[in-house]
Amino acid sequence: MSSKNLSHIPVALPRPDGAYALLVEEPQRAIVFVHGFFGNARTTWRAFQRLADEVCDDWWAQSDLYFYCYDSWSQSEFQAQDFREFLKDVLQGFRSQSYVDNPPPASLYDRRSADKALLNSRKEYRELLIVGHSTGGVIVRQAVVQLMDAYSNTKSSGPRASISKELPKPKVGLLDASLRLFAPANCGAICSGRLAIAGNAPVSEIILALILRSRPLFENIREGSTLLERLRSNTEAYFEQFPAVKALTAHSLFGKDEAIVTADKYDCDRRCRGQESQSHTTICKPSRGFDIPMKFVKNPKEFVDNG
Amino acid sequence: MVSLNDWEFASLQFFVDDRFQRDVDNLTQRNDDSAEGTVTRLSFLESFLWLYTGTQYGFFPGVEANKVATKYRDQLQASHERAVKEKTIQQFEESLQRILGSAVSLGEPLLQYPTREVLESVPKQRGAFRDALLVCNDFARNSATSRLLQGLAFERPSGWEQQVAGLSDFARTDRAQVGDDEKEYLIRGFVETIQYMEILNGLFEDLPKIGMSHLVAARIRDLLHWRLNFNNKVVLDRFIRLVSELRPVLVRSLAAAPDVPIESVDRAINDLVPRIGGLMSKWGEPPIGRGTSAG
Repeated sequence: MSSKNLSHIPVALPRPDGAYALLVEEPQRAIVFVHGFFGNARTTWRAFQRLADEVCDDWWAQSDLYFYCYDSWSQSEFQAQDFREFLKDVLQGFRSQSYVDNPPPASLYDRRSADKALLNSRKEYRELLIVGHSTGGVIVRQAVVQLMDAYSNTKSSGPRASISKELPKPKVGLLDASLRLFAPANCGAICSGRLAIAGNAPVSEIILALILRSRPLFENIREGSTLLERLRSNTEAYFEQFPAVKALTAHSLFGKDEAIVTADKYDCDRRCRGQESQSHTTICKPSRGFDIPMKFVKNPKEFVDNG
Repeated sequence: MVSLNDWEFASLQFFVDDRFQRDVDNLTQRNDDSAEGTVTRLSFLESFLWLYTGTQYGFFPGVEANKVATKYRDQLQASHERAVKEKTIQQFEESLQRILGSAVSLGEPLLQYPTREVLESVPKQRGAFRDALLVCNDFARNSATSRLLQGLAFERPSGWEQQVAGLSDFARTDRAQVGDDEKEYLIRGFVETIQYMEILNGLFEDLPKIGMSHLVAARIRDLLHWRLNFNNKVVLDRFIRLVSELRPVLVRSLAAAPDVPIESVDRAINDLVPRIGGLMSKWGEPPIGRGTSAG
């Protein structure tokens, strides 16, 4: 007996702790979600998990969803490295040597072997999408630049040569990923006080803006910070040199009530139309009355501002 | 499409890996007389109640879920006995106390199988159940939030006082002092708790709208209340004190924002505090109506 609207099976991933996936039987693509500061793998993407089944759309029914998590109260280069490791696992069906060497602890419930088999049985994906929110966008773009750096340090004949060294098995790699970013912090955090004055954003978002202003992390990601300036100039320079590398460009979607980060884009990115009545934390949460996030992930071109 | 059987088995596996196993492991490591030990035992009991609920309403496969529960019957009995003795069992809603009492006294099966009546009358909106499971597991797993909630409900007055003392002067940009990490963690716990309250309040509103039976939605809501229950006067007073201690921190931060006229700062924070009170009222019944006193 099968059920309509039931295409994704939940699986707790061996690591990082708290990461999980919703897997389908015949996946065509992997979509990897990366939350931002003060977010996590559950709450940031709330309702994506259910609506991916409920929309009854083949595109979603053929998409494996991976929800990555990390300690979002700190920000460092290592987070991008850790993310690349996770991506390797996703693309290799969690069969890498590190899993053989350090298998996850045995489960209380002996059906884990079935889930492990399910994970391991993932065929090579035809397509990779990475969806980032807020500082999750920074981590993703850092990861891309790190990989491009690795390439440029290897004197090989092109980016694919370095990918094959970094990611030996899968055909699709990080540099082939399409990036969809919700309110990315790539152009800097501002944590505008206007948010508190206007008072129409969620309470947690206002408190976040106020608390973030006094955290050391803010210095790293504030508008004009060295880290972000370098990330931008490196990404744009690599794009000039390798315009065919898909992951160097991104589609970014902002709410018109954005007040945590600067709503801007890199020169190599596509500008999307701002969304009415959406703020930093609501722009990435679909609901029955707000299906824009689902549509944006599936087809961001629909939102490109051609004006 | 996935078969219902596969979905139910996978959901049980996910719950065990994501939540239950963690609570069992914690029980073997931190089952002592401290406030942390109390929280660990109650968290394990909550986990058992999730197993019970998922099985009773047909989201988990009954035989398999009972195998998991039976394996930890001794821990269940010991945790329950201790909670009854220490009267911390009263942190749970009465209906949940009754379920726990019956489970430990009646023997097998520990978990009730869904009756035909339940299967026919309770719509099984699996996506909604998975939504709830994902967020509620996360609420339980979050160490900063758990630490704060432990302080609110289970610390002795002196322990709680030590945690919040000096919080209003705390600013992370100042030179680090001894104990700053704990203050930092407390602030983090507070911010994340507010976020969970918003998300979970929204979830509880949504569950019936997206097809989940009111019965199951109400049970899920009850399952969380032992962690944060504003009907408990100690918890209520401590939470309000926390908001009050953090108020100057928020004022200082807003005053430092270049795009805010200084005369607007107090008004903005004064407006924010009742909104926190509103979240609290929505979280716990009856509405407390004391939100503004936090200012």
